[in-house]
Amino acid sequence: MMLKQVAVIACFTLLEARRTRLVWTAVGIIVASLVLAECAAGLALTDSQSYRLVLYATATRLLFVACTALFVATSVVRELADRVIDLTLSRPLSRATWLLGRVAGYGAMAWLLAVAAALPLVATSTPLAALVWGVSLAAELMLVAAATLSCAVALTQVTATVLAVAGFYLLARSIDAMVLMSQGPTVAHGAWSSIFIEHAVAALAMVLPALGEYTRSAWLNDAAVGVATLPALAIQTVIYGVLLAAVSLFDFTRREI
Amino acid sequence: MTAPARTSAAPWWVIVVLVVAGAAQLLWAGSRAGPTASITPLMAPPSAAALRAMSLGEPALAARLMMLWLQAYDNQPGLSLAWRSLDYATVEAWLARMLELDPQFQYPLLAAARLYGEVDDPARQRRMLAFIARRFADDPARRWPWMAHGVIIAQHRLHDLPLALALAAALARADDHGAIPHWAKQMHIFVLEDLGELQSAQVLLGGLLASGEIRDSHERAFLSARLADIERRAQAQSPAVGRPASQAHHD
Repeated sequence: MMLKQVAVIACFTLLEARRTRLVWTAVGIIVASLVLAECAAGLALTDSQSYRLVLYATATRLLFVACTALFVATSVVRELADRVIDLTLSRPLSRATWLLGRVAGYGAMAWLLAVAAALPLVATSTPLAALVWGVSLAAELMLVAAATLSCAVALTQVTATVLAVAGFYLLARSIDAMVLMSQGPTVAHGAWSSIFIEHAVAALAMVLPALGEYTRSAWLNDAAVGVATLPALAIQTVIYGVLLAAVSLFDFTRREI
Repeated sequence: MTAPARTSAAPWWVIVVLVVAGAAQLLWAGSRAGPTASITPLMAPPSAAALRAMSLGEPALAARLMMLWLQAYDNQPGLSLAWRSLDYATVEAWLARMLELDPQFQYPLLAAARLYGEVDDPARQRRMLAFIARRFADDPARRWPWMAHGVIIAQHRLHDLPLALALAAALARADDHGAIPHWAKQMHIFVLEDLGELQSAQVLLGGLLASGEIRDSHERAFLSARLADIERRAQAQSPAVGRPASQAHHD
């Protein structure tokens, strides 16, 4: 029964995505990225194929991340603000089911976006490279969607949610470089401020997913590296996805509606 | 919309999932191999046209951002690169591109003279000095300080007096509309002196004093004393030398 309810809410989430013209937005992003990549490849004197691949992959990745965060934030905040959630929960439906349904719906949306983004790469790169890149993008978008859902449930404001997710994403993307910099040779290792910063950054690295390892455009030129990385990314996605869902549940089941 | 109130209770299984997932994340993050530092080679700079396009019509801003990026390049995450490990041909290309974007920008020449030119590697120092000399010719009035610094590097760090003389002579010859101070224009005289070319130094310094360009009394006194010293040493070297130049400028 619960699984059926989760599937229904997930379907309604996808329907909402279609009705809010997310499909056309995604198509627009893909076309704009393709045009940008072709322009860059046209300007390059040599190695134009790598320009084409890297620019397309980077542009679609970042734009789809932004698109996912905005869609999830507006979708959840609107449902909470319009009190549609009251109507939904007045039915024989638990809060956990609603939230898991939303997670499943946003997860499915992330997969559809990733498949759409990877399709042009099948023609320009190798099918294996496109597959690995697409799977990794789906995992990344799922984490972004789950993080946005958690923030939206807690903050109930679109602006605050989007800013919080942007901070989370940038931090998770750059945390490895920050760890290296905090331990680098130019740091005054005896200073208490350096010690504090080093430990603070190390602690942050423990609670953030290493998004810098996801969806690297370099995999499009060397799929073997991506294939080798994929299992670790899958484990990280499952662990962090469950953690984010649990955070959302913890907050959502405690709030008064 | 105000922040929703919270009750104190969350289902026990939610708390269990939260704790288990949190512990799994800590274990997973702890088991991950830490990030490793790797050197990223310095790539060639983008073309000036591309940089102009990317800077949305603000090439001066692009030049400044490029300079900061290049300056920070030797400090990559977790690494501190020695300047001698950099490819100086590429460094020079970056500096040249910045000047191309903003010819009034002084920082690239400062970096060539005071940062990359101070490296303990004669070949790299000479490359930077050659770069400064080429770029000095484009705008002597603004770029003379870096040329003067180049003379010092050639004379005292490289101990290459012919190179120092060539740079100092370029300074002296420059069409600067009075922007280059006398002390910089006189550098070639003292390099000649160090080279043992006392007679040439004598003639040039005497001529400078005779020209009346030096109006400051203290500077005239200093240069006259220096000229007298050169004349004494020149006469000691060659007693056959004729009338001292110091007398000539008093005529």
